[in-house]
Amino acid sequence: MSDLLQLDGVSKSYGAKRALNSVSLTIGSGKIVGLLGSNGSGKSTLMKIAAGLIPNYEGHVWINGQPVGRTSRSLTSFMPDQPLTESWMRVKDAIAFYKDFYADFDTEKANDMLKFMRLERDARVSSLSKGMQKRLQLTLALSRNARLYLLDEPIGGVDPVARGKILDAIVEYYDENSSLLIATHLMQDIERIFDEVVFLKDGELILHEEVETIRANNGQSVDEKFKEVFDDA
Amino acid sequence: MLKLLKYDWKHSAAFLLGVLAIVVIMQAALTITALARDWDEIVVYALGTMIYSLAAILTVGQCCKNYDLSLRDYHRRLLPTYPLQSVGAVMILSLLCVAVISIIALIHNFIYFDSMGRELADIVDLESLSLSNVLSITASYLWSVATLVITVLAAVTISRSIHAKMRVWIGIFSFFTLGMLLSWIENVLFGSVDGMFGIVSVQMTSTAAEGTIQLPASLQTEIAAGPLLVEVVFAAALLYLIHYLVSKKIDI
Amino acid sequence: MSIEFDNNLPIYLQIMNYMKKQIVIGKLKAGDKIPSVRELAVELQINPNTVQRTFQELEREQIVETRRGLGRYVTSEEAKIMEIKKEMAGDLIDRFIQGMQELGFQNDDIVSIVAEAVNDEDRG
Repeated sequence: MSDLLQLDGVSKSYGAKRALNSVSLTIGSGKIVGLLGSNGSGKSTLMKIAAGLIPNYEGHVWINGQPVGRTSRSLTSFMPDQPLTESWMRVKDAIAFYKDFYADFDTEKANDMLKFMRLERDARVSSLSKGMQKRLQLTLALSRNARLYLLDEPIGGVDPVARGKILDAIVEYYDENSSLLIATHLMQDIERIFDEVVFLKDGELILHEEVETIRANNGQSVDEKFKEVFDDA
Repeated sequence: MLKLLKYDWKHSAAFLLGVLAIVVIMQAALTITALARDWDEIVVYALGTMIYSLAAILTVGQCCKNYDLSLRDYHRRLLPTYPLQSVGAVMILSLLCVAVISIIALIHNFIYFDSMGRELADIVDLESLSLSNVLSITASYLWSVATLVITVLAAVTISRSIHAKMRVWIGIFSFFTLGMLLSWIENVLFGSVDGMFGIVSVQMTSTAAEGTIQLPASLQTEIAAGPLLVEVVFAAALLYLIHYLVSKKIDI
Repeated sequence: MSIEFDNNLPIYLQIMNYMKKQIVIGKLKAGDKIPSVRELAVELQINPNTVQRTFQELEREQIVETRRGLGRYVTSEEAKIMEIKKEMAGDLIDRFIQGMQELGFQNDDIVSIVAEAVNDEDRG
């Protein structure tokens, strides 16, 4: 199977700040990969470039062998750290929106997930708590049968119960033909679902390793490895 | 594109319908008051036109705001659509708004005429009101609106592709610059043209001494091919610019 | 099935050990069907590939077998299960002896201490 995500020498600057510095990365099919780094490490920028939201960057990015662009957006499902809905919408309108524009949207899966996440179809999006909004975002993102899922902080700022449900959903809907790239800075609960982890620091790729290898070689959890690599105080 | 239009509409429906409702109520109030108090016709026309123009500006402005949101909102930027599809959706909605307001204005006009005991024949020579004339005036009118909207959208796109704090001012500046650029080009090529975006010159000729208009006047239209071509090229260039900026330059 | 995971050790090994124990103590009997990769992954909230690896290892050690079209089953060979039991016991004993030796006990002492401890257990 061809690699699902390929970055080659990708750099992005915002004015004087270099958000990503010549990052090269390959992610194969059927993998759940953690993208770890502190705030400002370039995680979100990397995901947004892969999602097709940032067309202005240096280097090359390929999704399933084709360059990032309009067509790759139909293969990629992105869950950003921002709302994916409009204020007039109810939950069912958000689902309808996705169904209208994405051929790979699976309405049945969406309805199952809504029940699983305890989201009411008629609820106004503006009345949802932050945790519920995140659950809706995740539902929208995971109900697509995409090849590459990009989840930006799916469990950040969310209560432990919701967190558990979100992790359940991710594992439940895993498919070996697709891959997930999950950006997070919270390690403990989530490291068990990763195949591989990528560490980003100040826009540079520091490490890309299979999780079980880290555990076997160093007797460290990913959490500990992370602290070791990032603690330069 | 039609799906985008559907969602643009759902987003703005409350506002647009609200504006239309208020306009109708205000115009009704205006007319009734004017008739009751026997106001001068000129006053009624002036106020009426102002209110309709304001409505047009508000509704088209709202449509252009939708375009801005389509450049800014994650869920819109993630869609596997072409940039010009968003432009198309906004264009259709804008033209519909203008069309609806214009039709309301026309109906209002006739109602007013009627109540003033006037007939259309008093103003315009009915023989000159042929179908082709009417169609070309309507087409010209809609084309002007369309060119105006494309210029606004281009200005919005330009302002979104700049990251400086002066972004909004640059956008406004671009709009006026583009408009004046078009006028200047047409001027240079064809001599003076009526108005900023007109391509059909409508002449109300009347046989009368200079300085007065004698009614009924006869309506003659002539399609100015030269300026039309320039405007088509201008619009196409702006569309290309929009496509380029959105697909290559505008980040979220 | 619930396992307390230690994030510092390879998860797949931990699952393997857990399952071996389940088999040895009889919670999972010879010939029992074991959950599918997906079921187990969801239940334990771990990566399905990790579960897959576990099962592959268990199959390689012939503790588990795949029956085409039906799923994965615990081996029906009682002898094999006995073998695992002995192996796990062997690991425990090795660790114990090593630990005691580190404390300074001699082998003879270790044997008598164990005999005494087991007797106490019986009486107590």
